[in-house]
Amino acid sequence: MSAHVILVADDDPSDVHFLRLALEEVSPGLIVRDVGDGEEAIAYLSGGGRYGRRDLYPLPDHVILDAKMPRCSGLEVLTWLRERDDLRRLPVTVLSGSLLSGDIERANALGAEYLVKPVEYAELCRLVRRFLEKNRLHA
Amino acid sequence: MPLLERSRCAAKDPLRAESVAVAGSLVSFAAGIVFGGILQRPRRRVVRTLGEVRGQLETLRRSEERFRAFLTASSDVVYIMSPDWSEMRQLHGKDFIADTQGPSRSWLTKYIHPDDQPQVLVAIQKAIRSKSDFELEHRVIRVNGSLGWTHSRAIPTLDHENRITEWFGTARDVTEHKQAEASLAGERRLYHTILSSTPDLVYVFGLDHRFTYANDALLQMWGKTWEEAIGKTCLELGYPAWHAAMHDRELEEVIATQKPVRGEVPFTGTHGRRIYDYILVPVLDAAGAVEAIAGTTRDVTELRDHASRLEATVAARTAQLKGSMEELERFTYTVAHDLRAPLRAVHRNTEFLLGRGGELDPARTKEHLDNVAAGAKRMDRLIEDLLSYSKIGRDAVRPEPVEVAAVVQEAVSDLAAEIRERRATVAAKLERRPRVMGDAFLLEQVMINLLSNAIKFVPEERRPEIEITVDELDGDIHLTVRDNGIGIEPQHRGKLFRLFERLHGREKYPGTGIGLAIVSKAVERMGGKVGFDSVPGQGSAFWVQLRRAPSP
Repeated sequence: MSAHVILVADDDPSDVHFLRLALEEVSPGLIVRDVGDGEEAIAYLSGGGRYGRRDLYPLPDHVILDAKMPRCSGLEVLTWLRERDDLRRLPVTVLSGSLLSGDIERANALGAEYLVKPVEYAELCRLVRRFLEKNRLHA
Repeated sequence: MPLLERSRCAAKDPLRAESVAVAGSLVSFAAGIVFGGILQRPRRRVVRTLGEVRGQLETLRRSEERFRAFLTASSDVVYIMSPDWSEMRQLHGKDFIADTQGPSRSWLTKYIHPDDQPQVLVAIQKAIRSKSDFELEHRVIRVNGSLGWTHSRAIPTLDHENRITEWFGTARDVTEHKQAEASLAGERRLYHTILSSTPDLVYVFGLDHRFTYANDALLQMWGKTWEEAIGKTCLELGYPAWHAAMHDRELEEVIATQKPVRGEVPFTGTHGRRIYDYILVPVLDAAGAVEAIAGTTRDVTELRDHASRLEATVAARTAQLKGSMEELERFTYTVAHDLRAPLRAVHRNTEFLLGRGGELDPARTKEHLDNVAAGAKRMDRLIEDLLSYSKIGRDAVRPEPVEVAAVVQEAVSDLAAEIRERRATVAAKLERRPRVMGDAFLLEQVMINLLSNAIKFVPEERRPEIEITVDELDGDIHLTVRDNGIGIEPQHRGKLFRLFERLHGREKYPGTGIGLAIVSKAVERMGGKVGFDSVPGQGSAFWVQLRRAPSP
């Protein structure tokens, strides 16, 4: 069985850095790809431009979206995904720096889990472990 | 309506001795001269048999008994007066007024209220002159000394030469009737006063749905007189057919159920189109059957207008409040979101160093420490910008003339370091020295943010070229900051002025996402407008429109 691929879309380099660190630490075989905003995430998922090379940019098994990103928010990406015949079943988790009640409901309605980014790294690792187990993404 | 109908048998003609012999005798009897009539009369036939006389006497005796019985049975006062009324010959007072047994010349003062004496005398004179009935309603002094009312009538008896021989009269006690009449008239006056002074419309329908009463307010609203309106149905009074039909149904309902009906309806009368609230109630007779339908109607136009205005205001305020609440929630969310990001960076880098610091080489350690410093700095910048934003939204703004050139110069010198670093050129075409109505501090914040963006969002390989121009537009000053930067794609236009909204990653174009929110808020506080035009890849032109200040 080939390794699972996770796409992380987040504009905060520090958040991406530690999330990648936690994912690889909990499940060393994972392949993690990241993009810096929502438009980039859509480009990656639809295979536009350089993302057409699926050997370098493989289609992910799971997408983690930051709720608030430049140009195109996580929820906008999620909405776009759910309207695509080929991608609507792709599992998505929305990670946000804060809670906005309306956004949780919207994410849930679109079949995505909504989680708040923990401040502590240890807590981030626990969250990642639960997330991987729940979504059967362990290598 | 006259109080007492004149009875048909109470003939207007005086009593004539020959035609009503028996009655004439009775009158004579009542006057105490029982045989007077008989003894005076038979001059023509002197000779008569004893039997005839006996028979006549017997007839008279029976008549006398009947008359006595009649007098006793009657509740009326009976009196007899001399031909010229100067003397009262007899009066049976029947506990109403005092009796007079023998002839009396002081009857007028004894019985008649002083104020009524003149009209009594006038009526007597008239009756005597015309030899016809005396009839009058006047006040009398009762047995107990109090005042009462009587309806008095007397008829004259005439002899063969048509001379009055005496007057025979009856007087009825109508005191209670008069009092009831007076109190009824008082009540009528009271109700009339109330009904004609109320602004409400008051009316009564007969069972045939025709108006039997309408108060002044209603007549006025219809623009009709009493004569024009009373006896008419709604339809006949010009009500629209649907309206008249509705009231017809309601009137039938009140009659059938004996319960009130209430409704609200628009009607166009002399006061224009108004909204009326009305209630129709059954009027029951003594037997409990509906005999009429009374109604009152109130003009509730103002009330309804007020209520609907109030509702609209409440709805608008609620929407406004909801908008504010949502804005506040979004604001809190974005503040928390954006402030937590550097906090997470600081925390995790520190945590990482504390946990594995010993295993790391100095270069990696420095990298983590740099991240901590950068996070702290970014947080400080965020807080600083947030405070500026909040200050702009909070401080009172009193628009005053502001010299645009001076503000631009101030902003440019504030940004001298950035301008130098990017080797940018800033060309301001402000020869006409325009002045706007605004606030110098706010306008400077606007210019600093617009200029700073114009310098920042230019590709690294390009030298920023910025141009500031001024146009006049319908008495307003249109201030434009044009750059040769990366431009803005049309799909992002709507987001641009929102708080913490960023179109680019922080690494490429650093910033807090508060700058344009400050510009928007500051221009709004000065009562102006803000906008932009842009060609992606070629540049943007942000403009601010403010009221021109009057010439100094």
